[in-house]
Amino acid sequence: MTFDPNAIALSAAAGAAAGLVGCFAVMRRMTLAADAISHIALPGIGLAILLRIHPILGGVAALLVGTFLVWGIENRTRLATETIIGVVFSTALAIGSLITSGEELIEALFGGVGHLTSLETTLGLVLALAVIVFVLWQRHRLVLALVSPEIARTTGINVQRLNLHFLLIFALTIALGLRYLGVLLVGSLVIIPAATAKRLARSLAGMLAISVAVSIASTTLGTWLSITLHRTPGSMIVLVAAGFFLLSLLRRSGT
Amino acid sequence: MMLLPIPMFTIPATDGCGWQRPGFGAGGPIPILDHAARAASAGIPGSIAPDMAGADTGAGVGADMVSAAAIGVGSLVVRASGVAIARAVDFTAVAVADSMEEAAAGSTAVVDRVAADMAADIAEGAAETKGTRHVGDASCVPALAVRNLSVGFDRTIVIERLSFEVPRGSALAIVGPNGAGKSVLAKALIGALPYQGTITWQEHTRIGYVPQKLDIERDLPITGRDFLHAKAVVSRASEGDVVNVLGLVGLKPESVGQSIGALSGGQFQRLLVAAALIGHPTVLLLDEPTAGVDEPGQETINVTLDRLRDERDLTILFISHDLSVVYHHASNVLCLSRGHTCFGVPRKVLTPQLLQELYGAPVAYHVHHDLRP
Repeated sequence: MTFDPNAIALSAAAGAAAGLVGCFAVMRRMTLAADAISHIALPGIGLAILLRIHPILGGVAALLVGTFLVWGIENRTRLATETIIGVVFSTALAIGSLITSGEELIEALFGGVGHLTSLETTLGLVLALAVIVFVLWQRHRLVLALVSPEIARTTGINVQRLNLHFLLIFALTIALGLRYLGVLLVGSLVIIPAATAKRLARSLAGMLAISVAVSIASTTLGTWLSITLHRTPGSMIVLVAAGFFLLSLLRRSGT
Repeated sequence: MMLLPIPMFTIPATDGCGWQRPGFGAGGPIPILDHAARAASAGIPGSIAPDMAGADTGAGVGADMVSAAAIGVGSLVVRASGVAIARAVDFTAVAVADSMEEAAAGSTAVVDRVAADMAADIAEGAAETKGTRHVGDASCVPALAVRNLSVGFDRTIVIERLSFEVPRGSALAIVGPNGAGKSVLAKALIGALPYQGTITWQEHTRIGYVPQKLDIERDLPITGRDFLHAKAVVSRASEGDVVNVLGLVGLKPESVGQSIGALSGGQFQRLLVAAALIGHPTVLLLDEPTAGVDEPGQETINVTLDRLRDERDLTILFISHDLSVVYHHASNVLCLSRGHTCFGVPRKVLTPQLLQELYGAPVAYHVHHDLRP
């Protein structure tokens, strides 16, 4: 395993994207959905491997299907959205693990290290940039919809469409981290830095900044640690992020 | 649209709007003829399309038939009576239209309290009314026209066949016991709930909405300033507007630096009212705007709203449990209670008998004679 500048650049970009999306995911109390949505990537990866196409493509396709599913559930039912999401995505995980087998399954679940092609790097950077631009551009609309969907609506925001766009961006972010962190850990890249920032920040700008900083620090430090210690990057990234979260707990209790 | 060769018209000898004529007061009769003609004209400007699939069928068809009937009747009356037609003509037409509407909808006869109240108004010919404002021809379209509105969840009907209009520049209080559907009405009016019937806002209406009691996490890192700034950016208002509205609701700049979850109930309500005022709304829709606000704060907000209504020709719809506030600040009052609705000027509508009927228990509220509007 060698130091790959492409991998570092991509992990930093994915970190920034995850940090920004995570802020709104955490504030919208989508913590469970974050994990659940990422699980649906598994059957997609399994199918892609069976069909001999790029696993990530299969994962992304499944994520997009999952996004519309969550959106549809959110719009149609009033009760127990989280329960339904939990059932649907555990099922996805079960199906995925039946289709996928052995080492492929482990890599899909926990991420892998394989060499990045330049196409993968470019595509990853473009997607990360798209996510970053979307969140920064739409942050005011997202804030209004977060505080009160009705206020957002009377301000001329199509709340349903905004929710769909946010979920799609969310799914893209998951897809960005999928290769490194795997289906099981990628949700935590979105959630942990934002949860850390939420404890520390006192304003929206503060939260976005702290979350991005923690996220980039986790992905780059985690990637570097994984190379140095010869461990999978996914576990290292999540452990570093969790470390930041623990530190935030200490600081809050000290003030 | 069926059988409608007759173009939209208003009855002569009114002020051109069919309401708000001096002598009838702001709480005066509702221009059903005028309204019916509007409802019948295809492509109502500013109307909110019902979200619910099929919402335009069923009751919608009924409404179309009513509109047609109303116009037909109206035109007959106008032609028969010549030019000088008194308000009574409106009422005749309204009464006929209503009876035809009930026939058209095929429902059991529901006493139309709106029409009844209008009848009372006409009979009395009330002279002065608070908030009366003469509106010229250009403003003839009411700020809001609601016709045959029904809203329900699952199988429970919360609002059934409700009709009313809100003249531009007036203040409508919506009162009623808990669970009567006041907030549901507010949400339907902004299109946040599926409904049947028609809701027609005047063209180019901008609504400033204050929702009832929001559940905000205490440690949410969004400050009052973040929230107001977001509202300003999305409604393309200036930062000067933000400073301005803070002054209007009496919020100190330092308190908007706090997380919105950490604000006291009263401060948060003021913040919501401030946000609603950003972007120069033409209508304010307030769901218990002063709930949890201390007494002087309530007065500040109510007086500010009154002043803005005058200065900016704002139309205000507010839900309130405070009947003395309703008495002092509303031009009209709409009461909702399962099975009962009423509409009219507070002085006439808010009688002890009606309140008892509405709330199912005697309601005491104190209004000083010298303060009576």
